[in-house]
Amino acid sequence: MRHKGSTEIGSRDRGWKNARLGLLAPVMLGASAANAQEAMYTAAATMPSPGVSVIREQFHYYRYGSNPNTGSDHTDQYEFTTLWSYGLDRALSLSLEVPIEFRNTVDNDIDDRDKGVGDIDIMLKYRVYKDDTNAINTLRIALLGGVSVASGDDHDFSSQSVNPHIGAVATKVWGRHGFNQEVHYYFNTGGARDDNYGNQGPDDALELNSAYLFRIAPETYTSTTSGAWYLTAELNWLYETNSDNDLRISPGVMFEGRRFAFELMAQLPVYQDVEERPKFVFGIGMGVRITF
Amino acid sequence: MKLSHFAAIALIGSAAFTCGCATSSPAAESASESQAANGLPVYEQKPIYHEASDRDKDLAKSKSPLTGDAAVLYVNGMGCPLCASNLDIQLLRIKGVSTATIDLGVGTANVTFKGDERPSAWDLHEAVEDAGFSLVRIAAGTPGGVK
Repeated sequence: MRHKGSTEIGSRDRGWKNARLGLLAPVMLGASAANAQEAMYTAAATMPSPGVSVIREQFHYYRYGSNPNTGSDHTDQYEFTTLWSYGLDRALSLSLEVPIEFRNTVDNDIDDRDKGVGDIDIMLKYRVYKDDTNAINTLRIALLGGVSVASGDDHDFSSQSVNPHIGAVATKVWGRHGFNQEVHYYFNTGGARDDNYGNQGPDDALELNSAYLFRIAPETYTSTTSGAWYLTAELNWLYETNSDNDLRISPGVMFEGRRFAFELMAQLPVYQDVEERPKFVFGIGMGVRITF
Repeated sequence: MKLSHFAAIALIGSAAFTCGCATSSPAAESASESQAANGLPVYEQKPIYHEASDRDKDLAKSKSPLTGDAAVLYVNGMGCPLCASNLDIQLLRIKGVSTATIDLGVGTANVTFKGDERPSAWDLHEAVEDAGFSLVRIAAGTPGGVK
C-alpha cells in the first residue's frame, strides 16, 4: 500500500504505484498507456511509449499514532516524491523515484523535527499482455521489478540497504470504468524497526493494491474531448512478515488531460493489526503528471 | 482477518477482470467500403467497434509509401485522453507526417502529410504499436478531416 507516507517507504513501496500492473486475474484490478488511468496508491499497466517521459510530482501527508518502539505520542510525515518514467521500448519502461521527507515526532508536547531523502527506487515495467477489444476497452498486464537503494541519507530516512522487489499489475478499461490490480513483494534487507512506518523495516512485505476509476465526465468521448474527470477508490493492503498488516481505503478525484493529469486523494484506515510500528491515522495526497 | 481481507480484495479484483470483460458484443462496425481513394479505402465513420477485413490487414503491412495528403487510422485501446497522448507523439515522429489529431469519440487518429515524403502503412502501424495501441485499419482521409 504505498504507505509511502513514511520515510523511505515512499520510494520502496510506492515504487510503482505510479506505473503499474500485472494481471493475475484472480488477484486483482487494472489500465492503458502513459502512466494513465493510474490512481495514486495503485500502479497501472500503462507506460510511456518509446522515447517519451512522464514526470510525476506528488505530495503526501500522513499522520501516525503512538510509536511502540520509541514511545512518542504521534508523528506527522510530509513527503514530496518525484517520479520519472521513460519508455525504453513499446512494452518496457524504466522509472526512477526520489522521495524527500519531513517528519515531526511529538513526544510529551515536544516536537522533534527531521528531514531527509528516502531510499531511491529504480523499477522496470514490462507489459506482457495486451488485448484492445475496441476503441476504448483494453486489458493489459505488466510485470514489475526493481530495487530501492539507500540514498546515503543518515537521518533515519534511508534504509541503508538494497531492497529488491517484484510484482505484477493488471489494468482493465471498460467504457467509463477502469480497474487496476497490483501485487508487489518486497525483499527488505535493511531498515530499522524504530523508523518503520510500513514496509520500511527489515521484514519482507507484501502489498495488494486495488483501484477502481469511474469516468464522471465526459460521459461519452467526442471528437473534441481533451480531458476527463475520474472518481477513484482504492483498497491498499500491506502485510509484513512480522505479522503486522493493515488495510486502507483511498478515495479521490483525478483529471487527465492530453499531456498532464492531476490528482487529489485521501487515505483512511479500514483495519489495522500492527504491533511493531505506529498505527496509521489518516493521510492526504495530491499530485501532478506531465507527459513529454 | 488477514485471510478474509485478502480474499475480499482478490474477489473484487477477480470479478472486475472476469465479468463484464466480454465487452458488449461488437455490433461490428458496418463501415462499408464506399470507394477507393489514393489506394486507401474510405469508410463511413461510425462507432468505436472497429473491424478489419483481410484487405485491411494486408494494407496495414504494406511498406509502400502512401499517396494522398491524409489518412485515418482506426485504433483500438485508447481508453483515456492521457493514454492517447502517446499516439500523436509517435505519429509526429514519422517523416512526412505534418499533423496528428486524435478523435476519442470514434477512436481514430487523423494524420496529414507534408512535403513529398510519405510514410508507408507499415510506418503508421509501427507508430501505433509503439504507442501501446492496436491499429485496426487505415483509410483515406482529407487534410480537413475524415472523408
